[in-house]
Amino acid sequence: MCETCGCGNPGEKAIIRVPGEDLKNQEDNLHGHYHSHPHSHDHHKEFEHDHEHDHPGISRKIVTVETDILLANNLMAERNRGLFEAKNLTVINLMSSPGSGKTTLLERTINELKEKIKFSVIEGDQQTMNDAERIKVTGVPVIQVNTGNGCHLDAEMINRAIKRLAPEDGSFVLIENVGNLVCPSLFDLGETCRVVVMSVTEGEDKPLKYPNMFRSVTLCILNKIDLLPYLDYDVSKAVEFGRRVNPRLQFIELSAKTGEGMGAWYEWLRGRLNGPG
Amino acid sequence: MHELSIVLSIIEIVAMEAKKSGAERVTEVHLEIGQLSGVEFDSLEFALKNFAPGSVIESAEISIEKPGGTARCCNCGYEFSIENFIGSCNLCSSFNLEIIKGRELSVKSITID
Repeated sequence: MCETCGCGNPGEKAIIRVPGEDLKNQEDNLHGHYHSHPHSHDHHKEFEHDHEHDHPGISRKIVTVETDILLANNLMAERNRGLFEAKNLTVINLMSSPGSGKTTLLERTINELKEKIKFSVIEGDQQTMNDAERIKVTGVPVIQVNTGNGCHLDAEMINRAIKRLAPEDGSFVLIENVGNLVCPSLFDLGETCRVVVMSVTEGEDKPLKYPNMFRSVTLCILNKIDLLPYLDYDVSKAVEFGRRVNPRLQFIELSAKTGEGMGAWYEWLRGRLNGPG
Repeated sequence: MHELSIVLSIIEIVAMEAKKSGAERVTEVHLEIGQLSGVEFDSLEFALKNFAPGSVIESAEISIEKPGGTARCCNCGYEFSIENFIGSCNLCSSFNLEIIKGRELSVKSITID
């Protein structure tokens, strides 16, 4: 861990800002971390070994800990959940591999529903404001979380982001997680619902390859179905594989580009207003 | 590589417990990480090597218990061991399984001087 400032949690390095905002003017951003972190230790223990050490004259004591490694995140997620409940927010955590069309899905959803439903968006990416800039064009409040080296959003980042975003009571908050089918699945953000987006240009066996993710969600959106005529993709196989790892998994097939199938997604979204469902 | 976050959380938990117990040194850390927890053990090893130096676990031996997966069939109640989430019930072939073991992710104990 960093000796200079005591940092260490990748979550603390996340930069949170709205489009157009200058980094220098942002106190929330915990000093940006431009100093280097040299570690010149050449000794470290092997991962697992079973030899005993004796330390004569020193009293050794075994302390029972029994603490969940994700406890800090889970506690923060519960705080978020309380905040969301108090403000009557419906918070959707959208996850997928990069390039599945999450941002396009959000753009169309917001543009077609914003007259009826209040939205705000939290965008998660390692770098750039690109996605937040795209959402900004729709006119709804958006905030970008740049995780730096982090491969996922965590509950602490969402806690900081939601306070700056200050969404209206009773509104929807759409979280676009970092494009990654592995890491985000483990981190509870306090969300109302988790959704995975899979596109038909990926393999049908994605659920089998990333079962942790597909087990953790309630809905799988199958995007880019306008491309089906040009592909060998077998939708029924994808659904079968998805239900093998998660028998309760719901599927919605749509094209965020052409708008086909979006109605079912909107209906699902409206259904979430009364809780996870 | 969420294993980086996992290791940083481990260090945080150990540091807190060591401080509470007035430890001068942590000599052992005992972890329980299930084989269905979503943690890649090679990545965890890499992250430990990178983050241990300079931290409270610098001179600690890390031992990891790796419980395998056990599922209970929600249809017929049969319990059996599984290696991944893809299996179906050995008795009734249902895919509706509840994972009852293998997702552990905890710091069990530390040994201190």
